[in-house]
Amino acid sequence: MLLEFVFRFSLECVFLCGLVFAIFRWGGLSELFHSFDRTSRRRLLTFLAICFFAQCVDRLQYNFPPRFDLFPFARFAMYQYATVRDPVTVYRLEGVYPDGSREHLNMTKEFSAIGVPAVSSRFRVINEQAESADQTEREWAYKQTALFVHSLARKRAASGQQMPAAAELLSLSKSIQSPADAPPERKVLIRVPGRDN
Amino acid sequence: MARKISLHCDASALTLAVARVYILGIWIVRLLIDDTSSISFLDFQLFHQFGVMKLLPVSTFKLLLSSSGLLALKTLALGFLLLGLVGAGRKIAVISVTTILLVLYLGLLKGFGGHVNHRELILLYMTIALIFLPCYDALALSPDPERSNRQQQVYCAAMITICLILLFHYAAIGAARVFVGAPEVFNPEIMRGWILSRNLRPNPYEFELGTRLFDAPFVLALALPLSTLLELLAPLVIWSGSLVRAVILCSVALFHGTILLLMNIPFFENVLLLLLCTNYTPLLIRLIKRSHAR
Repeated sequence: MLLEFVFRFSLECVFLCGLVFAIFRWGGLSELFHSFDRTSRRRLLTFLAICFFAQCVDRLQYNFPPRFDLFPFARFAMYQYATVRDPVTVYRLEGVYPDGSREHLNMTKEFSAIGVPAVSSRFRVINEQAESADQTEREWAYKQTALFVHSLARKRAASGQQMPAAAELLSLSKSIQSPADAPPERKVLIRVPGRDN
Repeated sequence: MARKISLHCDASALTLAVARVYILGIWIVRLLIDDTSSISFLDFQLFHQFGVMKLLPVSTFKLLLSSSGLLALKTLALGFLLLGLVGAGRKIAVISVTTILLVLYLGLLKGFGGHVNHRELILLYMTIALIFLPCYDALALSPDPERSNRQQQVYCAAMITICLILLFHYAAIGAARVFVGAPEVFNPEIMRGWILSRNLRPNPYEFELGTRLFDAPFVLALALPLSTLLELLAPLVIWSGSLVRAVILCSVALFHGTILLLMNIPFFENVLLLLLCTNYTPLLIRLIKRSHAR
């Protein structure tokens, strides 16, 4: 498995090197870049080389916390790899009011500046660890959920908005073969106090 | 024998200056609409220092992540973006400081996520490239004194550099999918799973059109291979004729629009940046002539 990945990554790097070579050598960019003065050319090529380096080596960016990352440089490889998974599982955070009514606590709306993919990848890890067999990982997931809910409570308190009495981190599962309007299967992973936690 | 570059072969100092105004303008709009103040409510224990952010002491982030710290950083970044937009001050200093402030700004926001997503990174890389390019030679309050010594080809090279940053990354995404994930990644069931999870997971747009595609399996089967082909072909924009270029650019814009509608993932900045990959110099000349005629 590891060998196959190494082989594939190596092939990809060879392809990218070939692409860059073709663009510069046969695409006429090499001649064009000579119109820059020497200092600008060197700096530009160094910058492009860093982007290229990040594209080749930044392979662990979707692990949180990352063991290695090169921010502000990153590998661009969206939807590069997957295996068929059925059912599909996602996270959901819901508030529960004393009368039993529920509210979707949509963190991608509440803290929109972070960005949807970034919020989603953090909660994906929290959900995974909430179901882990390892006690430390489960505690980490609980703490992260409690901190996000606490942050939301602070935000809502500042704007005078209502906060539910409790919040639940759910795992929603749905088969990829099920009809579009079929509800997903819900499983409560973590429950934390909403107000005054 | 090198193939002739057809993109921006007539570029001038004005072409590059317009690109500068456009790139920095996108940042200004982006910063103005970002709900940065909400970030100050997030508990500091949730913050993670990504990449170069690790070089700064933790106390810096405690200060910056307060509401006043975030406001100060945003105001300062907007101030420098405005300076760069009007071409005031020394280019290298203004654009470098702007870049540092933007990296800090993005680092603060992304620090609460699980990874650094790519939405703004191409825009950031283009801003970094502006540091090294003669982008203060026109439309600038403090134009570069050396501008009269520069050949026209320098501006063509500068514009190609900017476009290459965007186009190369498209090809790299396509290559990653082919070399890392193929052939399994092209299984329609995987696309089905991705669309379902992106419709099911929380997002601010809440489009649910993606699941309607489940009744059209041929669309699911073709979507990813066609997108990958388009990504791999993107660099051709530099050498192709205007028709092929228009087809590729419109297809990429359509592809981003489709991703938003089907999977709730926005790439607004990239769609706007595609316009830089068009030969807009004749349009600028026409606009100038028309304004002179008045």
